Amino acid sequence: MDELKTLIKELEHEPPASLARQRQRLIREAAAAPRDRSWRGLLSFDRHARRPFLSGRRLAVGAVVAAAVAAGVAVPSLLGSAQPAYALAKNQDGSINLKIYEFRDPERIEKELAAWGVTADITYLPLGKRCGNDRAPALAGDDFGATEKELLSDDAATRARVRERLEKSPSFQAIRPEDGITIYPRHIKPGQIAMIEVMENPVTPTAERPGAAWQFSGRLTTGPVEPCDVVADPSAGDIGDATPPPGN
Amino acid sequence: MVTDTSPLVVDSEIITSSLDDPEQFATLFDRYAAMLYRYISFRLGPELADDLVGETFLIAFRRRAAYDISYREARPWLLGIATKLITAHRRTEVSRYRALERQGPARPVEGPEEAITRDLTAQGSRTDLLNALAQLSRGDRDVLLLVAWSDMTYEEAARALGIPVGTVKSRLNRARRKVRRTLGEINPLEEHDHG
Repeated sequence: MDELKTLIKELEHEPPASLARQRQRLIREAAAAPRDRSWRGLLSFDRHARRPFLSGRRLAVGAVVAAAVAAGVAVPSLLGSAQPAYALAKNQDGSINLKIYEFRDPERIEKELAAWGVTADITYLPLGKRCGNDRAPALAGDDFGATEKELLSDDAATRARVRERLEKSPSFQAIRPEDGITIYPRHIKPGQIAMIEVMENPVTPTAERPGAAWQFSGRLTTGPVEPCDVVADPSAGDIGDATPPPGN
Repeated sequence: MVTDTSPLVVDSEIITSSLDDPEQFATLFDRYAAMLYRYISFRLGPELADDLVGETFLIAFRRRAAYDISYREARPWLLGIATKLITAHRRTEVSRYRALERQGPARPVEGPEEAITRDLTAQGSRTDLLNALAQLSRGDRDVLLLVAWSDMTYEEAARALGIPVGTVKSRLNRARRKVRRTLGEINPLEEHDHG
């Protein structure tokens, strides 16, 4: 160990118990902070939407989609390398972790998931596109009864309640935005299909920004699943965290 | 209150989910507050460290929407914010090194003659080192101490401080040269190649 390292060891102090007060300070600020509304833009029931207001059923589906998308995930520097187009890993609790490195081969992911007993329908979309059609019927249980007023509320408590209800929905239980996408087969009933749409950021990776950001939406359906009718999604730009400016 | 502090959840995901669920950000506090406290207390002493750890997290929290999620680890980002806060207290930092220079090491010098000689030599270089740190320009000192303390790569240090990698290298070289000169050409610093 060199002298500077020795000096560092001599001069640094162990954190005191009083540091907990600083955690409280952060929690106070966090509790008062507004929730990010970018996910609202992904739903078609925002104030500027021209399409008719969604029914309760579609609203529930949209909310599931939005919550999933809110967890946009960055993929590390794997483009252009010899990595497989996707990587699946089974966790100890039986859940399946899906990291999509280059999402050009959804059929193979579907096959791999089928081998693990999960029927999946996976769609790849470039960022800025979405499926314009409903594609498949929603699960009754996904309708958690949130009203437009609740979804657009600025009140933190209301929003927390909506989120809590959303997280209890069957689709969210089965397909979660955890460490990429994590599928929980124990929450998928026989006959249900895990429908996942992935939107990849087409920005070319660079040394400074080695990853490609992507977002996904996922929900369960009993089928049948129609093909995706790809349309432009101007709200994709609202996400903000798809191509964020450098940290710091 | 945060319940999931599993290391399997990467920092960038916590930051992203905190946009919608701000309290999630406390997970980062649980992961890095102790580390930041050690770093800040080494440079400014324990009196300011507590408050500046809190300050670092408040700044990070307010800037979380701008965090580049392609970087999974938030440690360099947080250390960068802390370093900037330390720079604002650079007079305190320099006074601290000066005061320590006068005080000598915390442990009393005892023991057989050989050990005393060895300790006195160590004490001599310690005084020189503190003197050198006090004399460095703040930019050079920030890079030297951030890299020496955290074992960051040049790239991470550059990103943490918001300066080009070339600047990190040149500041580090200059700082090491000055310290070495003060210590009478004894090389006190491991010459890791972080690049």
